[in-house]
Amino acid sequence: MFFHSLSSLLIFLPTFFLIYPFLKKYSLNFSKIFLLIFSLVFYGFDVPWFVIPLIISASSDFFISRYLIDKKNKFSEYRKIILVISFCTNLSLLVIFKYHYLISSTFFRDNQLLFLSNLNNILPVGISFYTFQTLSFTIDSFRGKIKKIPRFIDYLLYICYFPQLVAGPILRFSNFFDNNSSLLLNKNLPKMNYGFYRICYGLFIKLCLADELSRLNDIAFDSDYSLLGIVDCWTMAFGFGLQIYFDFSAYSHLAVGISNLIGIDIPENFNFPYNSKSATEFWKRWHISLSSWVSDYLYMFINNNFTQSFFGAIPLLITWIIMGLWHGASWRFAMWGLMNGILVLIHRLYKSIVSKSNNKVMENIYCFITLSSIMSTWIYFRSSSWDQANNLFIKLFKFDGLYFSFRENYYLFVFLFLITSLTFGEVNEYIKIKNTSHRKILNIIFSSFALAFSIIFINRQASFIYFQF
Amino acid sequence: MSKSNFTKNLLIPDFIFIFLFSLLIIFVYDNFEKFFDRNINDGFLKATAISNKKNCRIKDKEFNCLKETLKDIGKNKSVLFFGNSQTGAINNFKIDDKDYIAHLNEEKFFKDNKLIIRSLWMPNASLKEFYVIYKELERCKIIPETLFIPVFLDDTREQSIRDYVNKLENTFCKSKEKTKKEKIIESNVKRLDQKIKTNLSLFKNLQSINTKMRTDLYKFRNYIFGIKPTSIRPIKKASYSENIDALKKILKIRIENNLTTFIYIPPLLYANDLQKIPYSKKNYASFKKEIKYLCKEHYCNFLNLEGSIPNTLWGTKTSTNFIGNNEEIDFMHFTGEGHKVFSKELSIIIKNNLKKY
Repeated sequence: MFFHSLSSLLIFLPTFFLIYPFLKKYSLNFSKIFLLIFSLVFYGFDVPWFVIPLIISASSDFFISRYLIDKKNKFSEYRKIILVISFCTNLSLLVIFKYHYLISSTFFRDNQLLFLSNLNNILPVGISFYTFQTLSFTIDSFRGKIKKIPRFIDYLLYICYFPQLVAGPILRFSNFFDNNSSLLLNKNLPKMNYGFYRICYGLFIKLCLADELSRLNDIAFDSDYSLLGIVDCWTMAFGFGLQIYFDFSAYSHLAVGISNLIGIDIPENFNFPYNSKSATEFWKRWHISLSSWVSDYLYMFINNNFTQSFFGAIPLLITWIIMGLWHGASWRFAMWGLMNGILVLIHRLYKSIVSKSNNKVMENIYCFITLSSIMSTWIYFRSSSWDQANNLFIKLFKFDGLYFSFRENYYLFVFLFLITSLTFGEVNEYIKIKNTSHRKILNIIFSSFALAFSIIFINRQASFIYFQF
Repeated sequence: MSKSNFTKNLLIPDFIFIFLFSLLIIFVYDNFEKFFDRNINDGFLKATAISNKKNCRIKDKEFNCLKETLKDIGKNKSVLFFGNSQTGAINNFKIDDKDYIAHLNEEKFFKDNKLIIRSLWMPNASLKEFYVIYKELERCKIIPETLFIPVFLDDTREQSIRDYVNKLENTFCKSKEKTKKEKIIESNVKRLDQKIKTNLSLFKNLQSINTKMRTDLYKFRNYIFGIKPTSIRPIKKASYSENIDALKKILKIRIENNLTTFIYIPPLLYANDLQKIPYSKKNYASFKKEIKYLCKEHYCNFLNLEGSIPNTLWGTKTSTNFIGNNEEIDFMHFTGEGHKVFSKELSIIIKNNLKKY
């Protein structure tokens, strides 16, 4: 279920916030059970059987982790085998539901793994997110970072926790448990006001910005790409780049906001990424929980097993291709990942040649180059065919006259949203430095307007893009 | 629970204050005109929209008039007009004014010949939308013997297909197989959302506030960029090509079924003085040429009706600018008298066509 659906906003969430604090006051155990059941109902409301792979992934990793944490097995020769079993279980789920078509169309002549053909187009929402979350728990257990296995119900709650279940942020053990593996949920006080501000911002960004852009981008990407020119293609690249940013960051605002109301501090997932001055910085500010997951678990492993020649290009690019495929079961996503990997590699090269400069003009030039290059890669992410993606991408660099193929509003919206987004990034830096006392008042005023606009725009909702991952 | 400096004197937590304040913002916005004694107008038009059993405006969730309008088509000799607001709106409406479809239906000759004359219209209807509708009519075996399609240069700039037009697909008449799209629409959340929307009157009101906000944003844009009705409207390559393709598809289906189709360049204010029209003279000329050629290629009847309505029979509309309430030229909608004149012109064309059979 989407947070911004009417059912969620008017029935599910109010019911939850009426019952949960009451239960928590009288019985922590009941409140936990209620939160778990609510999470599962919220997740499985549309397609109840989606809960099954979720429970399989969570349970198998719990029992594997319990084995790995147990002191008796600290030096067991089976530890690595057990870890591989966890990988296999999670990867099997991903292959069955997400990648079987990609694999069969790439490696098999008949284009189908017959026994899986019925699963076409049925992808349990958020499967990529929760498999990464359960895997991180298992790997941390293997590495000895988790000293004590939490209670099964607490662990299930950690995996199935509804505000972040389907689109992150991907939580780590330390985000949810203390050193004794007790739930932090029981210790933190809810931040009602702050949580509510974040929900208002999230709703506004989703309903008024992302969904409006989505409508325009859909029209643009459905049009005949052979007729488009350089301005159209850049507008489409920027348009989709902004849409996915608004869409995904809105989900994160909502997840953080709802968690604050419950009493859990979950980490931020975005930090105005389009104000970055390099691709490396961009990926430290975009989908932070995924970038850090990939860096800690995947890149570290690949980096240790491959040659480091040419600035560690091979492990870096392999990691990025996998990261691309995580986003979607198509080689276009792999291409998108590869392109981002190349941008990071170019930055590594540049950094090794040119010393860091504090020149404001240079910083702005870096910012512009980073923004344009990152935006251009979104073409591969959004296009529905190789032909479309290649054509649009080539047209980004092919000048054939200045003309506009779409309605004027599209160019105007993309331009305004870009300027607003970049300005907010700068203002945010300024406010952080100044730590202004007026922040609270500003929050109240902005939240009120954000909520008012969201209510007005609520009739036209679209699904979150990251739900499909 | 912490209270901010701002709200602690009010003794209410911030989130309740925010909720109430946001409702107040919506209320003030909705009633702004009343508070500040500004003129209230229905969008921009001084034109009055007509929608009835013979001249139906296709509208969200209102498919009843569509069913009524189409019920006799296919059973008797029939003529169907597709149209935009030019078909369905009368400028500076007077009590006895009728649209041209009504005038045609009142003609004795057509009554005697039991000719069914109907029209379907939507504001800014694009050819892409006409294609979606025609495909559905064909699927439902509602096939008019004669079809009139106006090609407005303005509407070839439209690229999107409205949700309610898309919803028509495979739903207007019974379908054995539900499409994948419909299956998704029927998800539990959508069903519940739909129930909430239909049962809470608040949401009906929100829709009109949303439309008002979009209109204000549109006016604000016009104000900032100095856009007026007389500003030149450029052809948009991609949308133009998609719309023309849609027209070709309709014509192809019509040829396959050996049916008569009229494509016409619709009436335009100042058609006799092309310097004043809101298009580039060159673009407009090549557009007409292209449509004529396309029609020839697809064995349809081409009509240039751009000069059918004298300049005096057009009207004005309220300002499309954020500031100021000046009336502006309306290039799209003519008066009741204009509808009468247009119906006479169409009547001759239809009669000539009937004589062929």
